Amino acid sequence: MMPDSLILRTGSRALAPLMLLVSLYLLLRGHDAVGGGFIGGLTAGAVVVLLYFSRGSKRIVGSRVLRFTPLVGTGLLIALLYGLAGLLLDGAFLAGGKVTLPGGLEVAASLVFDVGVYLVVVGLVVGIVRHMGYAAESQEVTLPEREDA
Amino acid sequence: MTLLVVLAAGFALAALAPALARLAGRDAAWLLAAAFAAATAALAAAGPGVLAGEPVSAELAWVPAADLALSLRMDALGLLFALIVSGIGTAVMAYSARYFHAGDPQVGRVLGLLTLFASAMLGLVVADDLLLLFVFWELTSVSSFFLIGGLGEGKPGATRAFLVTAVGGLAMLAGFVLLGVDAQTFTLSAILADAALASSPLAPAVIVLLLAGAFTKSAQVPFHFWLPGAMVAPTPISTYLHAATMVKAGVYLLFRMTPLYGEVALWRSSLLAFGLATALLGAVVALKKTDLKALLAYGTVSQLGFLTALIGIGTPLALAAAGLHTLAHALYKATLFMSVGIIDHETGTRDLTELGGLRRALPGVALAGGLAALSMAGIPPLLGFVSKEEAFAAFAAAPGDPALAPLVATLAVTASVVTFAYSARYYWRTFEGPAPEGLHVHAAPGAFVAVPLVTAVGGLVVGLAVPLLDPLANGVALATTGVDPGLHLALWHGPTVPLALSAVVVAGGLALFAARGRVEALQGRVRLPVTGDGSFDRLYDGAIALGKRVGEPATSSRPATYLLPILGVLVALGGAAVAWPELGIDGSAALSQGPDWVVIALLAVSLVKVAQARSRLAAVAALGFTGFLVAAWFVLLGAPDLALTQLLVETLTVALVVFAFRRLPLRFSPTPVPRQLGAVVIAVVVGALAGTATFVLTGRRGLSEPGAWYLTEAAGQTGGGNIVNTILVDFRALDTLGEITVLGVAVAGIFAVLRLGVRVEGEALTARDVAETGEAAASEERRR
Repeated sequence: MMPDSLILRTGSRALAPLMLLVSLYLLLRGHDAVGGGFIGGLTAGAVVVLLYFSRGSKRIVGSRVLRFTPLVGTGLLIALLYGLAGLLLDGAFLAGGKVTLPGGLEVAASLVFDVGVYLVVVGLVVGIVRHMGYAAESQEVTLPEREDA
Repeated sequence: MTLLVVLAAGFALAALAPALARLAGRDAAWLLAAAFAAATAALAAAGPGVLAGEPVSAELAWVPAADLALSLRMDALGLLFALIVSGIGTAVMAYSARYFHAGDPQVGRVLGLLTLFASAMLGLVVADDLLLLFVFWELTSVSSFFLIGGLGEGKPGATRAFLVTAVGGLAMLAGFVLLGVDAQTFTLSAILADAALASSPLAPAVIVLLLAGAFTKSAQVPFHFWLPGAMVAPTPISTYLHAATMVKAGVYLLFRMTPLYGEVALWRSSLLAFGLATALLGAVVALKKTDLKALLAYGTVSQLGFLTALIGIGTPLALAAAGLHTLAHALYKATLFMSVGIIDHETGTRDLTELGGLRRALPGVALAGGLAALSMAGIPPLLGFVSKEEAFAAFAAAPGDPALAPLVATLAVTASVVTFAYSARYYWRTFEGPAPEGLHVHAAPGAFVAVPLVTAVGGLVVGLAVPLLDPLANGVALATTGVDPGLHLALWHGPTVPLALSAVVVAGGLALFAARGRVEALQGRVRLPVTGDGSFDRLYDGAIALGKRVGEPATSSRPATYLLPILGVLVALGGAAVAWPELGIDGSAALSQGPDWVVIALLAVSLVKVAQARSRLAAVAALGFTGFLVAAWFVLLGAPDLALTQLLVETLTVALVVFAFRRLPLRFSPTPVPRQLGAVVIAVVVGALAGTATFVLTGRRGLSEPGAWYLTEAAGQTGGGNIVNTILVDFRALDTLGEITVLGVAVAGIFAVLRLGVRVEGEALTARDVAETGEAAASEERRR
């Protein structure tokens, strides 16, 4: 099992929400400045890894949200629906374009697509953490020693 | 219009059939029989027009970009085959309604597949486009594979049938492509009208490829073995496959291509040689089989050879006779198979040695089987007699070398003598003589027996009223040779050569039948040194073994085993590219700037650290550091997005690699010095090559043309200021969608494999293990 570290546990409590906020910020501003769904998703993935190291696998495995299939599935569905919406409204799959929000704010429609990318990337990291962490901690299983230096 | 509606209805019914069978059980077959009858009527209604010289055609755009249209055309030849397909289909469906037991779970599946099979065959004989014809051709192969294979019990036979016909089909496709390129069109009617194609230099290749397709499909020697192997299928399927579909497709192709190649020596001699060899071999083998279905199957092989040879004669008379004989064969072979199915159903056996005297218990079946056997043997007044007479006339009048006609006529008559003998054997040993001890016969339901009776009586009625078939037979000849032979079909033509040959057949057949004891003893002693099944299986096993051998290097658990060939090829390719001055790729050191060298120096130091590391953790940390340095380089080059991504990926990678390390020793185990040296050499060579390639291929610091375009256009077109992101989510959004889909699917697959690996380590996985671990994993998931 993971050795317990007070510093890591306390630090992560403050750091995790902050990193999540940064990841969302990176996602939102991605169209205009450094960032985007991929980068934002990776940052959020780093939060997941941090959670795993500080709180152990139970925190991840027990979570209802942090699951591979729903996250990746939702992400892909959002990206696909965005594409189909373009086909329906604009006559071209993944058409894109600008949308004016009620407040008069103009946003690129492709933000929706980026949200899909974000969810897929988070889902991938979550999946890896769940599966590899699970494999690493199931004690009854031991890989045969192999040398491949 | 008729053609499109009939075809569309056929495919729709194929999809609906399983649902119908769930509602109505086996009686759904009656409904399908009615639909088939309606299709037959619709096609027959178009008959007079077609025979008057006006083919029915229809066209529907399919893939306009590829110039592929759903173009259909039915001339007299298409009409003959279409009527056989739909007419025999009606009988087979009506027969299925009582063949299957009530509540048999496979009824829906079989009925659906049979309808699909029929629709594909119908499409095949009316297709007016080579590629469309090929699609239907393969569809018959695929649907027959599932029909023969059933729910797994007929797998070896189905696999042989499918592979043999599919390989032939691919050869045929190659022939079609050559032909289409040569003719610059894939429209069949246009190709057939272009006589110049027959003398093109490509013609011999096209002929060989097309014959490969036709001969495999129509079970000609040496590909005949798949057809008897396919008899594991339930009887309705065998009936349809032998009488009207599948094997008739090859014969149809030969008919269809006759206008083009009928005069070519290669075509004619191949058809005659293979056809007559098949006719003789099939008949001789049929004579010794005791399984009724096997006897009939080899009979089909023989008759297909007879038809092939007849088409090879190539005269209008021969083609008319072949058309007529195709019809006669469809009627009697359908009857015979259906009768055998009833016998099997009611007695539990179809082995001649366990049967006999069934005329008393199953009079209706005996009548049907008897009439069909008479037609197969060529006895008046059945249709089989008329068609065989015309065939003999055509063989006896074969053009070309004067020695040819006597030779082919003799061989055809010999095959017919043996055919007479096995027809007699079939009838006699099944229906006459004493019934063996312990043979229990159930009464057959009337509706069951009625179907083969109808087809049998059909052969009789058509034989008696054979002049009615004049326009059809002449139409087939006209469509395939361009000449109307003006044939007047009749049972009695006076004392002619064919009549004399028929008399020889009857006399010879009777003699052979009378001497059956000695013939059987002789045949029991003869064993063929090679069998088709055996050769096929050896070839098949050889291919599988070869595949294993080829795949072996990639299944090693030592990375070095498969890494070395890959790196070796890379070095060879890279070396060749760099050494090739004409490629015009060269880097320029002048583009390098001061800070680059700082990064490179740091990179070199950290890489040395990686190589020197004794503990795994240190190696990974050092490797992560090189990643960060590359990120720094990206910043220097003005790519902050890339740098950020690189940083994040590097961080995550280091963290995730730690997971794997928890199951490995902390330190690397010592490696022998020679191995270390070998690794160093490989690493240096590959590294030098990769470095050189990077240097010469990316020797540019300025803005590329597309880069400049994005810079000026991106903001206006997408409203985004970050070009990297606009490329990802706007300009190339489809690529991104594809990438994330691939990522998700690939990772899901890797997890599935990982899970199995964790659960059943060190043991060979079996299908049961896989299922069990899957369940265990799922239940574990639920528990959490």
